[in-house]
Amino acid sequence: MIRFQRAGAADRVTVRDLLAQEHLYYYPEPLSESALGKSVADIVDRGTCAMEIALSPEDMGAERPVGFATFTILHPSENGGGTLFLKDLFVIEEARSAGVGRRLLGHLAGIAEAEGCARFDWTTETDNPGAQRLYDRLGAERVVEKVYYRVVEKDLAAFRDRCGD
Amino acid sequence: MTAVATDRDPGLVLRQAGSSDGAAVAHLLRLTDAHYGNPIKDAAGYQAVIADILESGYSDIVIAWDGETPIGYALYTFLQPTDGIGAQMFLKELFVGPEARSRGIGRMLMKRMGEIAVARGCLRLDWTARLDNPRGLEFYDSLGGKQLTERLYYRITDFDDFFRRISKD
Repeated sequence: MIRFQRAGAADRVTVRDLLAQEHLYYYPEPLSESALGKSVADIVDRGTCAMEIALSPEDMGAERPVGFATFTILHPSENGGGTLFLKDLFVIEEARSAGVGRRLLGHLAGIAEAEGCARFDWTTETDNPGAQRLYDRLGAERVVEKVYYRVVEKDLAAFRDRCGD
Repeated sequence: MTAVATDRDPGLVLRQAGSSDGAAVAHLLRLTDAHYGNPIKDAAGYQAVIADILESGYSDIVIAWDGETPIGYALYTFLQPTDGIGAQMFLKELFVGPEARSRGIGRMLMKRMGEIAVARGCLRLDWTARLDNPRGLEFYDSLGGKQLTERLYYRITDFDDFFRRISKD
């Protein structure tokens, strides 16, 4: 059985290592220690975004972290429940295709239910057809009536100024 | 928390909510439910949500006050991980009550979101808007928000169905 564990102050090294591996999956260069440190602190200390760590089944040798999901719970929603919003879902390379991602999604849906959430939301890149196939197969609805907006760091000050006095 | 009045309208103040603002949050949730046509609850009906908002630590909320009256809010959080130094700020809800519209309060709240994002060194500020709200889209476009077309937004609302599928998959 895969076991799940909420990342806490004792898990800084584990969280750092998982985040470093995730970055290397998407980018050729490692993420700087200062960036990793900031992300770890935000997850472990400030806690606006929690992390569930997936630990490998014991029959795969010594138990070790094989993936994670970060999420938050937001209000309001239409029926008074919250929205569990999944930020990142990641499975380490050696543990791919073993259903860890699917198990993490199921685990988060369980948290959403236990917390009385009305929705479980996430986004995915349009250029990731594998992920879309999984999400569609799991019955997740594509929210097409929404536009996703973004202001990136270099434009934040201009954005603030554009908002006027 | 510092309260900042605007030059334009000295009665208007933005303030980050704290644990003593439960009644204000209840009032604003009631206005939000009324706006979206959701059932409106009594104060007790909002207790769990208020506790989640003010005490869970998952989100922060800035309230716009007109004197003693809460008239709008922005609820937001900081998401991790990102691909650089700093969090991804995510604005969940921007809401201004019906009697306070067209006074630039939405703009004030968006400005505050930008200020917070800059002060915390966030890599980006994200939010969603409904396609059937052209005025909202126009407003966000005018502020320089970029519509991300490379992103799909997924949602589960029927958890039983989801658990059935995920155990079969």
